[in-house]
Amino acid sequence: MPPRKKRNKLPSPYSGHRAPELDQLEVSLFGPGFGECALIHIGSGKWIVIDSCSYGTNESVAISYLQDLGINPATSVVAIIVTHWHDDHVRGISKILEQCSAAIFIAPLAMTNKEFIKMTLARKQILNTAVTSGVDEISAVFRHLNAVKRQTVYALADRQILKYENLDHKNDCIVHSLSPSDAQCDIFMKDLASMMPDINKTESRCMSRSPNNLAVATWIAIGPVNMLFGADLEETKAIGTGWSVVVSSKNRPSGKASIFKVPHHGSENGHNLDVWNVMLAKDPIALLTPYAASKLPKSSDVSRIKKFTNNAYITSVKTVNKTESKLNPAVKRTLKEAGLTIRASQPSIGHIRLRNDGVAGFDIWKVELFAAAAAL
Amino acid sequence: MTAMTANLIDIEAGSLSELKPNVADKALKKARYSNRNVPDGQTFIGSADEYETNQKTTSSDEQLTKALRSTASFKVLQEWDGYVVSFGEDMLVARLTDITNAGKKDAGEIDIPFEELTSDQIARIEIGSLFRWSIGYQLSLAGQKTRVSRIVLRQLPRWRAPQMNAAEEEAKQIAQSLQWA
Repeated sequence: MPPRKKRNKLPSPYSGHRAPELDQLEVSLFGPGFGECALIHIGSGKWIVIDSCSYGTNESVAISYLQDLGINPATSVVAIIVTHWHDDHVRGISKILEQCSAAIFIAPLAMTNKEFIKMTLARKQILNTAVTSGVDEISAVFRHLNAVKRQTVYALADRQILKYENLDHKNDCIVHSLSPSDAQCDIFMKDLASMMPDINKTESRCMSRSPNNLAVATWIAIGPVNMLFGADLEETKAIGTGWSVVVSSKNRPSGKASIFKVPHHGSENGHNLDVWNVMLAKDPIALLTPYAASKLPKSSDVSRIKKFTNNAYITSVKTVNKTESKLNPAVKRTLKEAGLTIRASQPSIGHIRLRNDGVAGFDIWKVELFAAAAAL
Repeated sequence: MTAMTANLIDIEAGSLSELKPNVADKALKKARYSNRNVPDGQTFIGSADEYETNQKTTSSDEQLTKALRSTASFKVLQEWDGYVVSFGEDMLVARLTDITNAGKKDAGEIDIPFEELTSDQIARIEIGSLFRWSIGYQLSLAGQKTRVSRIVLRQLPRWRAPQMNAAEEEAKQIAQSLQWA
């Protein structure tokens, strides 16, 4: 019998890469895979995770990346921010929480409300279906928080949620949540009633409602460097909601952000002219992830963003891939004969990595693009 | 005319509900809480609650004869669970989860024209509706082999008060135990 061939493990795209230096900042944006995830090295080996995504399996991309760099997530991740509960932002978040045992958990206030928790627990298990939803992850998060009594912080407009002093680069890191506003929380709680299972109706998958009234926009200030992570915060017609409230707030942190995670996959709904004019530095580094289901960003969105900056990057060039290559040939014939095409719900995953020069050049950024990531 | 036969079976109209009660009871024992082939080759997808819901549909001898004659076996080549993301006047957009190839959960999205569904199914479509889609070979008692695509719109059980009460209790306990920093 011939000796069995060893299967070579695919090399990690980060083999040979090193963790950032203790005085160096890093911003990594992953997506879409299934969802999006930002990882921020604030200095001194401390990392913040914003949302979560997976690719292919339920494994968290953030955890894999940190481990590839030789970083222990259990001791290095100091905070996990969940901006909202939608499936494309929380896939794998419960595993991140379990593995990052030193991290504080941060979520919008409304998500810690008993009625929201009840909704996720009630809707968690639908009999005999492989279909999942964001509530599966979130209910696992709540059960974990309950089991291990992890420290929790709620996010609301204009709230300082984290502070780390005297890091290796000699600066503090202060994190503020900029949303949701009181009005958005109120709307969300009213929407919640309609998401609650009704004993007069049959089970169905929990679907998110639009517009998103829960998204936590996050402002991270590290010395002279400001970053704005826009989550999926949208402009809406309702008074007291969206980016207009954030921009006009007198209580939000001052300064202009030079790094901007573009909200809501670059959509028109997530755009606010004053954000670019008032809250962002000139020609900021803009980062975004696509969302294939809504065909975002549209070409008009890309054109609009490029008018504001020459430094825009996307984690994956928007393509609609067929996903039928591994199907049985007879199944492929069936689809072809019926004129049906299964397209990837999310294009290939990519990674944008920004690293500064540490104390030697705190506002000098090197941009690296991995896998499907590209300049916009 | 293509080789494919679009055989769209709604649980209420097409499978166990068409069997005589004694046959269906035997089938139920085998199929309870799992997806098993029932004796006549039909596939019952779903829980006992779903079965009981579907059993309420009145069956007739004529339907039974038709059902038994139509299929001797069904060999599944590919199955997906799916849910409706959105729908318009003539089609729906669904997201699929692969249940044949383990490890590849997110199978993708598909536009399904309403012409692939029965009018009853179309009337029941809602955002979030769940379905199972099977493609395979159907072998009739006469020995005829046909490639078949079946979409079964799930008739899931109703939410139950005990389930809700349990969620309420657990939610109350979790909310009270959150450790605010």
